[in-house]
Amino acid sequence: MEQLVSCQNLTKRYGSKTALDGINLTIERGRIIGLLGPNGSGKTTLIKLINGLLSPTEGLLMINGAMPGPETKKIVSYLPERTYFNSWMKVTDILDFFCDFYSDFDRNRAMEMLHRLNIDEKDRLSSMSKGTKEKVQLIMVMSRDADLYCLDEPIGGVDPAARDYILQTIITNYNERASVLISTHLISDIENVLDDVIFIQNGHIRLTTSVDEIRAQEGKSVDALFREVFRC
Amino acid sequence: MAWILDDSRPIYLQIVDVIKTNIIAGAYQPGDKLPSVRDLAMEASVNPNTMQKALTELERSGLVYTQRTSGRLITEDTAKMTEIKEQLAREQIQLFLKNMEQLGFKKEDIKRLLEQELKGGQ
Amino acid sequence: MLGKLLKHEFKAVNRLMIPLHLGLILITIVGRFYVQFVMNRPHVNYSNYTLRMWEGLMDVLLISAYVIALIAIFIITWLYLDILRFRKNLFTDEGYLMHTLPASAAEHIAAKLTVSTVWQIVDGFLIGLSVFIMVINKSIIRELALAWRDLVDSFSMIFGVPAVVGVPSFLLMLLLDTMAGTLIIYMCIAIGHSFNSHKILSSIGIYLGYKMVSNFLVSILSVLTGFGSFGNYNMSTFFFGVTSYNSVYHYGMSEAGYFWLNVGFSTILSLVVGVAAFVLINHFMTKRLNLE
Repeated sequence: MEQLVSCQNLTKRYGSKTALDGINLTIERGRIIGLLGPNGSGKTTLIKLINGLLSPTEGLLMINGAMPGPETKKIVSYLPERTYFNSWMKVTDILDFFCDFYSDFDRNRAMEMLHRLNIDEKDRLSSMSKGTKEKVQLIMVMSRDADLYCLDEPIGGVDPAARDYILQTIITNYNERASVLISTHLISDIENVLDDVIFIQNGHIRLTTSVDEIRAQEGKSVDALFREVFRC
Repeated sequence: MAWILDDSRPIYLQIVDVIKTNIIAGAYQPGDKLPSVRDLAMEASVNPNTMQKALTELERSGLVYTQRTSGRLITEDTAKMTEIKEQLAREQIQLFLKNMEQLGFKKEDIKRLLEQELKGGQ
Repeated sequence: MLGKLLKHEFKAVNRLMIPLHLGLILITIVGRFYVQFVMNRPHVNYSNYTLRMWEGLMDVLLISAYVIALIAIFIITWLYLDILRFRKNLFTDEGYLMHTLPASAAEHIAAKLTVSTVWQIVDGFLIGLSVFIMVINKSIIRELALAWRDLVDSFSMIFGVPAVVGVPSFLLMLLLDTMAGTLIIYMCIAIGHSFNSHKILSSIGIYLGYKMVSNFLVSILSVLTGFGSFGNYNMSTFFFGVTSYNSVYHYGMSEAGYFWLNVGFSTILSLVVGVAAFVLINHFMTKRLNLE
């Protein structure tokens, strides 16, 4: 299968602290992948590197055969673990913004999803709850026809209904040319939607495999295996 | 409305079982069209790749077949249906017997208790 | 991509800049009416000292308020465009969106610099216009019309350069100086925010460090060449130096030569500093980006 992301000896250090230590990794197209690890294991660092928000200290990172830059940003859609919109913006402003900057943005798809959540386009972000803001952001990110979606802790602090909405959105927008990379430490919540898992700890990759393989070989869920691997 | 799946076995195998049961129980009639992979995946809250794998497995078992124009259909082969139905029944019975043996019952006792239960139930 | 960045940058910045400068225009109109009123104020009762005192106090207070408002508008404009907007949009949470757009760092810098420069020009022009409107009256207009030729002539006499050439070169120098100033602040923010902690403090530290080094270099240059000043680094001495014939004769140089030396040197200095800052910002925004 075609390689969408490839890392060779990818290392990132902040001063004396090593966040990622010589990672080798490939991500193929058409997969939904869980990037699983405890807090501070390097999940966010890896996602930021893929999105060009950080530069590697050492090693090589290629997305669709190119180093992170304006070209790769056209095909990578990123949901950070924080809200990044200005509160004065209305939903239409955000739609305009995404339409202008991302040629793969599907305005109709976004509007459909917004309507289903009863979010009016004329609503200002400042009038929304934190949860609604996060949903708007997710809708924007998932309304792109990107090759790679990076979702950093999308189900971090959300209620079960919102979590189901997020998972449904991921499943609905799935296509076989694109991959979704989801980082989280709450595995049992998303286990059923994953194809593959990457276990990461202290900047090292502990395991990369498919969910079915874990279940077939170990006879236990990914969540149970995770607890075993990362037992303190 | 996620399907309730357990933790120990591969998800696609569990989906195969759920759909098989649905077909046998008559939730889908012979000749019916199955929903699309995406819709089924949505319904079960699982990855579309997993659903695809499960459907491929179902096709191999003969319960489902693909028609180029109209997608995936439930088999109209009643003999096949009966065969699978009985196979599932056998699996349940084997499981039952295994549990009873673990409780220390002999075959004769099981038979006696079963007959008693069936009479009492009627 | 630059066009789209500019469009959205103007859209965001205009939300503050347009009301702020509409306010400036409003203050000017109100102020002008007040000036008109004061000039036509009948001073019939000269013996009423209390009334005159209150009137005088009122005038002083209102003039102070006007001056303070002008300064405030100028500072807010500068602070917002050069520091707050650049930092907030590119180096805080909003940076997660901006830096994942398919735009290069150079395009981001160019967009911010353009919008900042345009608004600083508008701001400067409107403030100048406001003061002009405030002090203008019939006699000044009449005098100005008569003295215009003299003014133009005296420019070429003092600076040794015709006004039509001198004024645009001077304005170009001013423009480049403004842009270089903006880029220097962007540079300090970009470098400061590449640190893991104390980002704002680092930015300020870098700015102070830069100022010290640049002042030191300029004073070394002054000592080496014997010139009292170098263009924009000390505008007042620049003018003082040019207008003081003694110094010009002392250097054995024509007025024109002295003008071009200063304007030329200052222009080149702004260009060099600006380009260097741009390259540094670009490096820190691509290779050393470090969002929280």
